[in-house]
Amino acid sequence: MKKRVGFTLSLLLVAGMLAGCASGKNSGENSKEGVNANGGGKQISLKFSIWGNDTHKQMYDTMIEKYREDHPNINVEIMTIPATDYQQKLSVMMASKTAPDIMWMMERAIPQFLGAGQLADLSSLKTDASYQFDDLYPSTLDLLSKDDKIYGIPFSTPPNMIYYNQSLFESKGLKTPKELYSEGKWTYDEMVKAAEAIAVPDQGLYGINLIRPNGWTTSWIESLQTLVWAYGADYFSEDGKQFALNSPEGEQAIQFFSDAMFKTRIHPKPGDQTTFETGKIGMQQELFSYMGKAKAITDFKWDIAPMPSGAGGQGVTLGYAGYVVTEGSPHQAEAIEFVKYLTNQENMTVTSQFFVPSRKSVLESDAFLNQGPSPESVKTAVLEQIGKGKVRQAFTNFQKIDEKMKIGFDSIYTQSVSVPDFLSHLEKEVTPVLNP
Amino acid sequence: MTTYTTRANRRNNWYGYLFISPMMLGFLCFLAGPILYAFALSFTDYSLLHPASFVGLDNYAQLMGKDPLFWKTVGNTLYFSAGLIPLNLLLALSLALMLNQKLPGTGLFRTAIFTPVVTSIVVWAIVWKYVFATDAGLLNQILGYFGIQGPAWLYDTALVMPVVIVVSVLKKVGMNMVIFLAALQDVPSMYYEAATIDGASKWRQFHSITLPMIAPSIFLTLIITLIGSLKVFSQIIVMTEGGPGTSTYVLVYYIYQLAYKVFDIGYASAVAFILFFLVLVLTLVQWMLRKRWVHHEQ
Amino acid sequence: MSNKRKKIASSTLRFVLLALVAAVILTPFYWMITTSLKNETKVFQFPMQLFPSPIEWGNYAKVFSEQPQFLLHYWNSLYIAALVTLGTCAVAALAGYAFAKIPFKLRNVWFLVLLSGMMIPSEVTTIPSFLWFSKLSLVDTHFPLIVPPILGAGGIFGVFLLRQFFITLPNDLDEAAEIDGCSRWQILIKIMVPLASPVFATLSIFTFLNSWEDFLDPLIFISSSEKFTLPIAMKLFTDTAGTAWHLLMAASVMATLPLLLIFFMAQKKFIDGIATTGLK
Repeated sequence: MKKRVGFTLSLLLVAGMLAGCASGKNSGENSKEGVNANGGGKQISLKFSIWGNDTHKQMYDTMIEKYREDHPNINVEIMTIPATDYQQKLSVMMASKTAPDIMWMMERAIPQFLGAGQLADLSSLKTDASYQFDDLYPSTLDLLSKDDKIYGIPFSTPPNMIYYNQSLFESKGLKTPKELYSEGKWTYDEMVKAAEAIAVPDQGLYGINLIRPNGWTTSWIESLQTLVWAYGADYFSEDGKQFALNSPEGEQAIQFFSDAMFKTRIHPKPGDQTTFETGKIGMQQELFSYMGKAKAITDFKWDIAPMPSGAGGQGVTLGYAGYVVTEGSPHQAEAIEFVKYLTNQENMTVTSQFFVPSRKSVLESDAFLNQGPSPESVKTAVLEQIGKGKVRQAFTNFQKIDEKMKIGFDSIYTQSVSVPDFLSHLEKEVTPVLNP
Repeated sequence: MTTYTTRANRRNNWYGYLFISPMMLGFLCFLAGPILYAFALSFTDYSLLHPASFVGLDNYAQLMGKDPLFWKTVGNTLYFSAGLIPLNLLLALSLALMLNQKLPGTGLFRTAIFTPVVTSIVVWAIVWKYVFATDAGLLNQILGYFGIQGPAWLYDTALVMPVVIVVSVLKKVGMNMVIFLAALQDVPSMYYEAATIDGASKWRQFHSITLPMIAPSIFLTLIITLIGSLKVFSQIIVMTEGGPGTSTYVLVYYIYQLAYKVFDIGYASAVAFILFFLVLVLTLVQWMLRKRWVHHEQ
Repeated sequence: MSNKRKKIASSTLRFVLLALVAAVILTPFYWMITTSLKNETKVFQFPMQLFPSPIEWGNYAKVFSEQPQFLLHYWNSLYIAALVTLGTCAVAALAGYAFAKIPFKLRNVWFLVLLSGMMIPSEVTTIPSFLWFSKLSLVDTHFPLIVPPILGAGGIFGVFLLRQFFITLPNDLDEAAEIDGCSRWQILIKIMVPLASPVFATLSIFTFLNSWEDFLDPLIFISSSEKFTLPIAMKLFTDTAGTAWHLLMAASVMATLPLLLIFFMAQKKFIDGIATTGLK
């Protein structure tokens, strides 16, 4: 009897706390409305989240300082979140209505937040004459557009490219990817030929590496999309409802990759961590953001070139990051104004020291062209590619699809199944998640 | 007599509840609440960005009947525990036995073996991931030096779990070793002297004196190691991310995936309560068995 | 003679075995330290650079220039871990003693309720806790990193550990003290706590380390960078362009070394201390 009383008592206690929690929610909402009501000349503090490092933060701090000259009542506080945990952290913050006002947003997170109605409509920027909206590359805007409205402004849209070890090419007397490209002969066949000439797998020297550092677990989407496109295949149908890789072209693409790893051994094996800086990789698929690391290389000469072309073209993939504003933020108007400031021509020129800009005028500026090993290299490998590049397909339930694809691709990496079996098995696994 | 007993009882109750009150109140505020909350969520479909909707037992039904990955993770978790616990305890005990003598360098060896215990598991796992990397990994470089082509340790469905187990054993073996070492030093030396006079062999001495004397320590380390092994997570997310395929998908990694990647929080909670039940049963079984071989407790 | 030779052979064998285990265990530390002194482009040199050349002492300075708040994050981790450790020891001593020695009503029921709380993975309670604490306006403070761990799963582990210890102490110890006129409180402070000091040492290591390396809770609860802890600071060395291995390892060395030094200095006392009273 007594036991039961004790237990009931503890239940009541917990129930009481749960009730307290529920009432707390209401008061929280009320107080937010209160904040909403006052605006005007009062001090306003905006929160701005990034996944970058301290150099990025310093760059923004300078911009903010300048912004405050014209907007003395606005203060912007930068919030740094580790890149790998960015989406989780923001989701939890949104659930508790404590999300920052302005956010960097990565491509795979956009559909999730856009679909849940968490991003504010920025369409007012389209009609703002001083903003020059038309200067933004149209190909970079699709992901953040929905029903003719725009929900964010991209600030980093890097096409993928090849970093190649020029010293290795010279020592073997090979034509470099850049030379082949200018002759119009830069194809997958030529790439394989060069890779075979360079590779000495028993000494850990490889001709080509499509996988980015530590990128084996995200390889299907991060590293192999371009290959799949270049072979004229795709992962999913255009409406995203069907698995499309189980086709002759898809099989060729995967077979090519499998052979490169296990048969001709021109490509590092799964789980390998050899990096381009070591000089043991002839050609490395990478993004513009790798430039900083590459510039630290002193042991050999290197340069950049566009992706080679296959039956389906080059399949250039655009990386993607944009600024978005939180829907329901108490300072939404001020936040939009600040995004407008961040993405104007002057500031995008500042950010272009790290990010491939989405504004045509900035992209073509000397300041940007001088970022790379040489202006012509940047012109061919970045400028000429950005218009051709495609952003990867977006899904609201990307993480579920990602998990299935990752598990599936591992069966190629562990050589447990043949390529046709892998494709039919993956089709069976992935199709249900595409039609939730 | 009776008045004395009731007064003593009352005083015991007063002190007992006074002493446990900080813990119990804190437990109710900060742990029981979220646990009940999570339990309630396990009957809902909740994805953080959309409000929760009640789905009854659907999550549990899905788990039990229609989720092969869940059963795979249960199997993997048990595989991990079954590999880790004996290896950890045997190695810890052997090391403790070897270090229980005055030998040159004993202190240094103790410290060396204890070092990983005070190292962050994340850093530990990052470094071992490099050691086991294909080709350019440290281990395969060493093997290559002897002319052996090492396998892709972390991309081999058969090798990956043993690798994770070894890495986990090396991380934690020092703690158990220290507990055993302490227990061994507490065995009165006269028992061994008497046994030696009686002509008992070393093995006999170990079996009849050492083991019974350190049984309580073995019980303690067993429980700690078991609970820890069922909750294995950091090594997995750093070294393998559950892969290759689903070879190292363990329960807590699955819960993390569901709750923080897919945001299927209702389902994640259901998996967590199955894990809770598993740990509870295993602990209760041990608790019962303890009476058979630990004689200290009444 | 042959007996002596046998003894020497067995000691040598023992020494070799121990050296082997120690070598395997220390290899990662060797890699960690050498990497922290390598030039960025030489980290994954193949074949591996056994000794960094050139030696980049500057990597350590760079940790602080790349992350100007590194020292602050270090301090945050340190003081949070210290408070959690102290709090856990205090709360666990009280409850552990009560559960072991005071025959109060429903003692075993409460103990089982507590124990079951230890078996829920924290990954699943973090989101409910966060939603809860955000109502209490306690998110983005260190409160959720200090108080719940003391009174949550970590504290329960401490209660369990201490109960297991106190229960092995003879009951006459309490009774004799009680006859001498000591209150329960005095018995705990003057007799039990000193006896249990090695258990506290073990518990402290466990608790300190759990707090020191906790990543998920700080990630979810903390937003302002001046309140970050070390594990988050370390994660910031990885961005979309990859990981700055040389800096991550330099930071790791700095995060590990103090704990190692403390253990090295305390190891004799720690192990011998456990031995004299016995942790059972």
